[in-house]
Amino acid sequence: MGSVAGISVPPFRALLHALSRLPARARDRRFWFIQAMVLGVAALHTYTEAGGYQEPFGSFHHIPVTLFLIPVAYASLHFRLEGGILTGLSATILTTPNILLWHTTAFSFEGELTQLAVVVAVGSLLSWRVEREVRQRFKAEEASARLQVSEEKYQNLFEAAGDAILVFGAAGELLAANAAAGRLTGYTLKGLTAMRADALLQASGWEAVQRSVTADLPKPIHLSLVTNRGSQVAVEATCALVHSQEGPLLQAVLRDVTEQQRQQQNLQSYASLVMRAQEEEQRRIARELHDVPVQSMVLICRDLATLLQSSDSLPDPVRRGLAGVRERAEETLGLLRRFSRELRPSVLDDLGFGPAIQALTEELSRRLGFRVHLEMSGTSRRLAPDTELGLFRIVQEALRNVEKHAGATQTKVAVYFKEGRAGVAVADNGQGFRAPARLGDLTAEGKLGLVGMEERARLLSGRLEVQSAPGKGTQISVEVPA
Amino acid sequence: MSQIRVLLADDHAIFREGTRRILGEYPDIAVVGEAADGEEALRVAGQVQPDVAIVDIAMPRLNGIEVTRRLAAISPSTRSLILTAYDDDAYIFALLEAGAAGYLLKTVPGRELAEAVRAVHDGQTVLHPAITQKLVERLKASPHAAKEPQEPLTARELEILKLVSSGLSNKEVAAKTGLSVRTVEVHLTHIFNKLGVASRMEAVLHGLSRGWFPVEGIRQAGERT
Ligand SMILES: Nc1ncnc2c1ncn2[C@@H]1O[C@H](COP(=O)(O)OP(=O)(O)OP(=O)(O)O)[C@@H](O)[C@H]1O
Ligand SMILES: [Mg+2]
Repeated sequence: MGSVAGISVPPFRALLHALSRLPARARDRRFWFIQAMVLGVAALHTYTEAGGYQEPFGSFHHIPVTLFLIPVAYASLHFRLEGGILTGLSATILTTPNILLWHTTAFSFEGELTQLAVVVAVGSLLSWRVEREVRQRFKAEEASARLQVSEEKYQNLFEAAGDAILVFGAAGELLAANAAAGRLTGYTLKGLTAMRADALLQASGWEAVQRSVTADLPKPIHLSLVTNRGSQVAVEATCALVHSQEGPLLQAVLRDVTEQQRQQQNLQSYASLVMRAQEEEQRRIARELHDVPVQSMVLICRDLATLLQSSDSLPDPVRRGLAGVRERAEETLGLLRRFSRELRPSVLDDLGFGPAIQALTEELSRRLGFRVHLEMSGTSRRLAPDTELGLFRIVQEALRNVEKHAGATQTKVAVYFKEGRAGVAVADNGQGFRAPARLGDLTAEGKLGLVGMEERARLLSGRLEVQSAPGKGTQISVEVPA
Repeated sequence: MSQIRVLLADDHAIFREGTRRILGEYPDIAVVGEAADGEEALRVAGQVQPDVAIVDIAMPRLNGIEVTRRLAAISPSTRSLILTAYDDDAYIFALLEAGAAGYLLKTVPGRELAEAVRAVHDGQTVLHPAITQKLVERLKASPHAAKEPQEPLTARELEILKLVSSGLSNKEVAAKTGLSVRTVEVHLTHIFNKLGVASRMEAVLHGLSRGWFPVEGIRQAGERT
C-alpha cells in the first residue's frame, strides 16, 4: 500500500519519492508484468517502424502507441498516482528514439506526440482519481475504527460505572440503564428500559432534569428516585444533553446520597443537642454561681462595709486593712458577676433581646475604650426564648471575635425588628480575614466561633452571612423568622 | 412614732436573715413580712400592706420587676426598693416604668440600707452610686440624650427639678423655695408633662442626660440629708 502522505507533496518531490520506492516495488509481480507490457508495446512499435511495415498496416500502424494505455491504466489501478505517472514516463522515454528516427515529417511527428500526450494524460487522470478514492476510503475506515474503539470504551464505562447511569429520550422514555442503575432502583435492566422518566423520578424530578441540562452552568441536582418497592432514595444527579443520530438524549448520572444526607442530619441534630446541653449547663452554672458564691461574696462585702461604717473605735491600721479587704472582695464579686452574666445574662431572660444586646455593647465599650454603636430599628419586642438566646449568642460571639481578632477602631451592632422577622449585624473596621468557603473547615483548626454561629443561625431557620476580606473589615449578619 | 413596716422578698434565706438583723438595729423600722419568691411576696404584701417592700430582682416564679409592677394593684401604698446582687443598669428603665422607688446593690452597709428605706418611705427616690454612674454614661451616649423638650422648662421649674434631684422631698423643696407644697406639686406635674416622663426619678435622669445639672448633685444612697 502506498503512502497516503505522498499525494500532498509537490509533483517533482512526488516523482523523486516514487522513484525512491522502485526497489521496493521490484518485489511485486504486478510491477514486472507492467514492465513486460510496456517493453512489449515498445518492441512492437519499434518492429513495425524499423522493419518498414507501416505501409501494409496502413493507418493501423498507430496502434502500438495506443496500446501503452493498457499498462498505464493497469499501473494506475494498482499503484495509484505513482504507478500511472512512472509508467507514462517510461512509455514516453521508450518512444523517444522512434520519434527521432522515423517520424521525420512534421505531420507524423505531431501525430506521434499527440498520441503519447493522450496516453500520459489518461494515465495521470486515472491514477489521480484512483489515488483520491483510495485515500477517502482509507480515511473512512480509520474513522470508523476509531468510533468503534470509543464506543467500546463508553460501553465499558457505562457498564462498569459505580454510579447509576440512565439515558432518556427527549420524551422521557428510558432508553438505556447500566447495572448500577439496576442495583439502585431494584428493577431489572429490562424492566427499567420499559419505564418512563416521570415514573422513576416523579414528574417534578423529570422537569428538574430537563431544566438542569438547559441551564448555562449545569450543576448536580437533588432528586428522589422511586424504587421497585415504592420507597424513595435521595440521589444527586449530574445531567447532560447528548446529541445522537436519533436526536437529543438526556444522560443522568445518579449517586445515592441517602446515607450522606442521613449522616448530615445526624451531625446537625447532634450539633444542636450539644448546643442545647451546653446552654443548659451554662444556665446551671450561672444559677449555681448566683446562689452560692455571689450571695456569700455579697454578704461578705456588706458585712465589711457595715463593720467599717459602724465601728469608729477601730485603730487606723486595722481600718485601712479592712478597707483593702473590702475593695478586693468587691473586685472578686465584680468578676463573679461578669462570669455569671457571660454564662447566662439574666437581662436576656428578664427583659429580652434588645436590652441584653444594649448591656452587652455597653460593657464591651467600657472594655475596648471606644464606643460600640448600637442601632436599633423597628419596635423592640420579646421574641421566642430560643430565638432571643440564639441571636444573643451570635452577637456575643461576633463581638468576642471583634475584641480578639479585629483590632478595630469602630464597631457597630445593628438590630432590627420587622413584621415576622428579626435580624442582627455586627460590623467592624478592623483587619478582616479570608473566610473559608465552608466555615465547617475551621473546626479542624479548633476554631469553633463562626461555626457555632452558623449552626445557631441554621437552627433558627436563618443563614449566617460573613463578609470579610483582609484590610476590609468584617460584617456578620443573620436574619431569622421571629 | 410609728414604725416603717417593711416586707423582705428574697429567695436566699441567709440574706433575708442578715437584712432582718441589720434593720432590727433601727427602732423606727420593723420587718413585718418575708417571702422567698415573687408570688409569695405579692401574697404577703396583700395581707400585711407594708410601707416599703425590699425586693430582689432574681427570684423564682416571678421576678422583682413583675412583683413591683403588680404591687401597685395589690398594695397601693407600698413603695418598692429593689435590692439586688447585680449592677446591671439595663434594669433601671424597666424598674422605673414598673414603679420602683429605689435601686440598691446588696453590698450597701446596714446604715445606708436603713436610710434608703426611710428616704423611699418619705417619697424620695434612691439610686446606688455605681448604677447612677453607669446610667449617666448610657444616657450621654444614647441618641435622644441631646434632644431638647418641645417646650423648655422655666427657670423656676429647673430650680425645683435640681432640688428634687439632690434628694429633697416636696416639703423640703417647698421650704427652700418659699412656695407652698401644693405649688411645688403643680410645678412637678408641668415638668413631667414637658419632659414626657411619669416619675421624679425619670425626670431627674432626663435632666442629667441633658447636662442640666451634674451627677454629683444627685442624691445617692448613703448621703445624709
Ligand atoms: N471580626 C474579625 N476580624 C478579623 N478576623 C476575624 C474576625 N472574626 C473572625 N476572624 C478570623 O476568623 C477566624 C475564625 O473565627 P472563630 O470565631 O471561628 O474562631 P476563633 O475566634 O479563632 O476561636 P474560638 O471562637 O473558637 O475561640 C479567627 O481565628 C480569625 O482569624
Ligand atoms: Mg471566635
